[in-house]
Amino acid sequence: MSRPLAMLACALIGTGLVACSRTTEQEPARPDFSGVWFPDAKASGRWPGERPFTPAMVAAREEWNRTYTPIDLTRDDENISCIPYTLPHVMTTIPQYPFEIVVTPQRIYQLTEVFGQVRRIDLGPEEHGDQLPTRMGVSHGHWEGDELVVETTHILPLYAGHREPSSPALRLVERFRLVPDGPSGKELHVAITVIDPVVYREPFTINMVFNAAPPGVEVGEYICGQDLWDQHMDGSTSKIPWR
Amino acid sequence: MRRLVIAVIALLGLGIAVPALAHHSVANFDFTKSATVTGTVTYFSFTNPHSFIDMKVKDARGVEHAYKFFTVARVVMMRTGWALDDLKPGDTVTVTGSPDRKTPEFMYLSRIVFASGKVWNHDPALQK
Amino acid sequence: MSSIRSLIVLLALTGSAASEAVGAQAAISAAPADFAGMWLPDAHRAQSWPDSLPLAPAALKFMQGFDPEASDPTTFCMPLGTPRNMLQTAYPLEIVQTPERLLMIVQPNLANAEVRRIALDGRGLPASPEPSWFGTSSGHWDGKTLVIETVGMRADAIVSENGLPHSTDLHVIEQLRIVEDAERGKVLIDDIELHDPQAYLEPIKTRRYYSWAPDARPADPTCVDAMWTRKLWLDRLQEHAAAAKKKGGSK
Repeated sequence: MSRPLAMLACALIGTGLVACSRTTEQEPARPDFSGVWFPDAKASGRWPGERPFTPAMVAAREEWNRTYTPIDLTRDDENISCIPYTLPHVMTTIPQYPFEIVVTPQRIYQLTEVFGQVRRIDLGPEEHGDQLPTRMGVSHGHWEGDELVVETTHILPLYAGHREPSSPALRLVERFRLVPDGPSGKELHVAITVIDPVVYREPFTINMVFNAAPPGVEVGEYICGQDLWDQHMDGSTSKIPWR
Repeated sequence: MRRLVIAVIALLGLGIAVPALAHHSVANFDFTKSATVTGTVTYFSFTNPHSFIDMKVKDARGVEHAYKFFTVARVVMMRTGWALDDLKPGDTVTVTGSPDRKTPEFMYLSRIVFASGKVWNHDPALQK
Repeated sequence: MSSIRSLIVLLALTGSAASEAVGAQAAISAAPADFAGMWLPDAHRAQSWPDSLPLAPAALKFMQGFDPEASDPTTFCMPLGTPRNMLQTAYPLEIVQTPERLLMIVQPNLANAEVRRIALDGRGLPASPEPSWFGTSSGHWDGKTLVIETVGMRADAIVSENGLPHSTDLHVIEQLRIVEDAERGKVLIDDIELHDPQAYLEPIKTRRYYSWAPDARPADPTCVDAMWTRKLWLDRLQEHAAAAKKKGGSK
């Protein structure tokens, strides 16, 4: 399509769904994932009931449990203690907390409410050089038609006894798709394929559905240790039940 | 849901830490039970990740008991209709909730009637 | 022929929907300045606080008696908050710019990333903002300078590691601009004014410099891990001690 025609198409379609953001002059209009999104508990898939752990992983988990369990999760849960999530849990968790997607031409940002995490999905050319693993990893996205395909590596590994253990070999392939007229209105569908040959015998896919937040609803300010700090400041000795 | 329940039972059988769907495990509350009490607020922690309310409740014989109600995060409360000035220490309120399995005076809040008469509900099925 | 017709229609639409629809890149290019990217604070050029700060009596008393262990939120992995997150010189600043908003993201080694959301749609400031760590901000252009006003910052956040306090009346005015420095290349300058009639006898002004650093990557925070490990370790030590006492001193 010639550029003037593409611009006309953009103008006619309007800014509602098609932001016409582009990285080069030749690129067609892309779906716009920006906005605040809530996970849909009913429509979203879950982690497989039986995890396809490799025999080595099964053994590692049994060994870990022999050493460390029983664990009192009401006291020794790392996330209650404010250790943030890693990927893919950031995408598969189904709480009442939203995230916000901000789209710029070279990078897409995902800003979570809980744990205040920042995920960066680069749309430009691949970077070279090694990266230290982090909870959000390193993500690169490319378009396949109307789907954004995001590959993520360099995710901080989680220990054998974790509910979602991972190795440095963990790689995620996510397919983001905008569904403007889903059953719950404007929806974002993300199919997350988990590939970790050290941990799982085979990859598996979790299909997440996110609903657009009602107008005016924004990501709130949520600092995980706020309750401890508030009590420190007001001097109360009332026991915080989950701490 | 059913597959997950089976998975949870299977994992418990293996003695492996149960993957909590929730940000925080609320398995200590018995959601099959419910109780409603009226009393005076003595402390209100309106915060994240969870708010809680301390109350003094008089029983039928006039004996005072200390109750603690656990609820969701402040950000969630404010998104679901809880206003900044709805609750403060000294208010008389009526609260419904599900008790902790060991300590019945520690409850998961599902409904509260504020001193103003305004009502706030929270579906424990959405508990996090 | 149809291309020319399309062009005519396009020109006719210009100034209405077409100019809005053309896209984020064009709109950012149309903004007076493009602040987007990674910036590293220049610690050497950070303007020092004056020796004598114009503090009201209560603020002076707070600062003189300041105990970081008790009153510095960062001791508890709690945020730097605004404006301390702009005054710090240790962590990169990422600016994200869209036509409607500027985001300023600082990821210190604390529990949360600090995300300042600055509205660029001319909405103005709320009359009674709810105090928060990062404040409520609105920006407007003054030539190529972005003037950012922020209100509604929590009084339990401090401005500096020496305990410079502020009240909930704090009104921060920043003037953000980019200069081309012959030596350093692209430099971001943030002129920061702290207006707080409750805490300060007169506004406090300072300046921070940031260098363009496209390869900088924020690190994962470890503050909470350290606190959790410390808590676990202390808990376990106490449990071992109690168990040992029960057994009559044997391990």
